[in-house]
Amino acid sequence: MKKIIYAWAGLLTVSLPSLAGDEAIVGMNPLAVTFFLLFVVATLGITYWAAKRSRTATEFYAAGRSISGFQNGLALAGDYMSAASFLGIAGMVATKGYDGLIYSIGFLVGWPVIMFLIAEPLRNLGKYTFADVVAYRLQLKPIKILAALGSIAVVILYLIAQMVGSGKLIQLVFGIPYEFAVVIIGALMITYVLFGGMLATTWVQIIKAVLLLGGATIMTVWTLVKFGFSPESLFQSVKETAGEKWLQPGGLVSNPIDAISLGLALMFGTAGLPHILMRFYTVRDAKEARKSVFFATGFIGYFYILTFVIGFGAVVLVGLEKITSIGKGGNMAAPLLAQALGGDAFLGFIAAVAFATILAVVAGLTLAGASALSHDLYVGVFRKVNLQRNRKLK
Amino acid sequence: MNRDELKKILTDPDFQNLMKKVSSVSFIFTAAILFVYYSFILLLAYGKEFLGQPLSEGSATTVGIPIGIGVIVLAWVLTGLYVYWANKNYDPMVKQLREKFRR
Repeated sequence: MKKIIYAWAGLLTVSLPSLAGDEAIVGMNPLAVTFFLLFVVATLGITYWAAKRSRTATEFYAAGRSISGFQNGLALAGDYMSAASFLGIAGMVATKGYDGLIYSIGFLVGWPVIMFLIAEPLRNLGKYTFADVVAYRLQLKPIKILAALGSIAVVILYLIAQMVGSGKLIQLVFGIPYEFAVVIIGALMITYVLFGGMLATTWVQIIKAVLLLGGATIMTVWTLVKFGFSPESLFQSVKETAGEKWLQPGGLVSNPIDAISLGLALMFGTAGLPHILMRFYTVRDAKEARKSVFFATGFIGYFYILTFVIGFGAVVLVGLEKITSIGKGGNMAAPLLAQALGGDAFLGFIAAVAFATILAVVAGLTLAGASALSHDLYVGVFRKVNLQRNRKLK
Repeated sequence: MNRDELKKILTDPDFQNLMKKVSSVSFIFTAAILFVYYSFILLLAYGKEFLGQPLSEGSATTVGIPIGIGVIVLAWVLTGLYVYWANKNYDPMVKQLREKFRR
């Protein structure tokens, strides 16, 4: 499973840097800057509130198990709906057509599998990290080292891609140098994690999920209005502008082996992301944990159906030429569609939502990395604090 | 909890029954979702023409679009069914067992 996790992280870092290569589509957009600042101020406020409440380890790593099932569902969905899903999948549908949907389906199907096979046993042990759980059954020290290193490797690879993306986005909207932008993002997420812990990152994630679902819904409805609420007439226009091939499989995976290998990687890769597994511990009991997965699957599935419409909407309303001229991977398809629909104001809003998305995911990842380092490696291995207790349990 | 108590629980027929039920239910659900997903992937690999044909004569919507969206919806429905089962049956059974051994 570890191997698959590595492969998955590799896949993400390979596919995401294309985000960084994108040309500027906006200069300084005052509205977007306003939305950015509002989001940052609101989330810092939450962090301050959370910092006052986080006193024990359970409060720091698991938000005191105080989050409700519905809230945790939103936060789980928030962790899942990264910029890669929003910008990446909409872009893939725009540039490759039907095959973009394969990614959405593969991402989503990982969910029920987590639920049926690993959520329950993980939850029952009542621990904080994946390493804790494995160490229960096996020899403590080597397993903790291995699992923690695995988590950290995934987190670092994933973080780099997200940092690059967000730095680029800030550079576009604020018009400040890229290096400076990355430092700002880094400082912000350290603040969230250091002072607020899991409680703050969960609430940041919830706000972001609501913003993202809202933004994507507005875009989809707006797009459908242009086609008289008929998906068929949208597809008809796609057929006329981009060709019949866009609505048929084959644009991305051309042979059977590709399809099967991609299918495997997508599904099992998502099932093991460390910052997602951590979320099973933030709720009161198993019942709430299960409910949260149900809500999360619903939100994510709904969101992926939206990105499908957004991608095809961009093909027709923005045009393929413009999308590919701005970014090879088509990552700017969604922002460009926003601009085509509602001008610079809506573009500013969507850019801010994308930024919030990256920031929230980065904060969640940093927390997962921090838990692996401090909780598993430092406490569990270097200081051997847990050793006595674990021996008793065996 | 000492060794004897643990052994008593592990060999208890009610406990074994519960474990059997849980693992068979999660096996059935996992098998169902894997079947749906891999049927889709195999269709993608070997049945491109089928997925690519128009839904009805002259329409732009292809057969693959409702099928793809159907897989997403089905994954959600299956999760819902499992959650419903677990919250309705599994938890009360665990509670019952707990009370049994508390005495």
